[in-house]
Amino acid sequence: MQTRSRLASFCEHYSFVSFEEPKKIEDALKDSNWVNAMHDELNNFTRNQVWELVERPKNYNVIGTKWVFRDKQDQDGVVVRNKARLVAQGYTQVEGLDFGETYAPVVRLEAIRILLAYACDHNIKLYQMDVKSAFLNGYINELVYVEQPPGFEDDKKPNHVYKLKKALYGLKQAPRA
Amino acid sequence: MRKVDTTLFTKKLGNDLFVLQIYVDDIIFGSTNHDFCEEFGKMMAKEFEMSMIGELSYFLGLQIKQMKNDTFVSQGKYIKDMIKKFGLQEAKPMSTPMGTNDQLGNDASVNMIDQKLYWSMIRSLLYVTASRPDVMFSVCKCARYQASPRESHLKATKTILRYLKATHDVGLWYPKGLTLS
Repeated sequence: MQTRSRLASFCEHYSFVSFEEPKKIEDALKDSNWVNAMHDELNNFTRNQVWELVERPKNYNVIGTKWVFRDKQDQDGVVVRNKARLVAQGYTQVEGLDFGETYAPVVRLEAIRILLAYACDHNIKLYQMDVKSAFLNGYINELVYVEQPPGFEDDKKPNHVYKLKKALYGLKQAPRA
Repeated sequence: MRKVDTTLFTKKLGNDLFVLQIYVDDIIFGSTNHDFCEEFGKMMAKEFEMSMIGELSYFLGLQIKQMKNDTFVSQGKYIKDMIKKFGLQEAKPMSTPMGTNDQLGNDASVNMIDQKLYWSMIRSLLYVTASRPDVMFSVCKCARYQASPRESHLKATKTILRYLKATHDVGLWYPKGLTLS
């Protein structure tokens, strides 16, 4: 169904977004929309002081990184934004060596239900908020090195790696951060 | 910090109570004293980059309506999405989740159906039981046959979905100040 608002939304975003989700980094690098999206993500890292470029450590597991490309859609299913996310290939991490516990506490749904009932009875009005890019806020305890992001390697220090101060998506320790 | 729910934090200040519940990057908070809420919101905004601060209305698929004298919790949107996911938009709505004489047995003579689809349906239905105790029995009954689901079990599961389709706006209602007597 094509409604007028949907059409308007479509026209509004038509020239600014790409419609294909690229599978490979080579394809993404050819499209300026996706290059912009990747720059956005890296700028985010710099702003949040996620990592620093250091020399490649000896005898230490360096974790690979990968770009994931996703289109964000609005409620009508129109693509409104291209989002590039850099993730760590956490499956190469070795338990005990690269990470300890990966348990993260989350609440049970029943507990939330009780909270709602309790709040209602005690005249408590509940509010909600969420933290932007939660993972980029958490510091990590272990020493973790990751490869430079594909397509955005430093020309002068191509063999350097990034030492992480905060967690990346995909890391085994990410949910704990 | 509480022992049972380790992500619930409470603070008592005189006669006022402040509660804080964290779900990864989502935060719920409230207090008997409104000033605490405002102060907390400001504090958090200073420390982290926050988006959307407002009255609790949608959390983990639960639609929450807080009114003056009552609170209403439902999962209408979740149910609608679920029905779409399993392609039952055109299915006929049902007025009950399960017939009184429906027999669900283990019939090894008929072929097994796609287990993954069955598991996925059960998992989605189990989440709905959070605000829908009325389907708890039938969902749990169907859940027992996950090891070797047959056509008859799938049919029963779809019946529950069709019942939910007809009653998607039903939910839990917490009226204030009612005591059990």
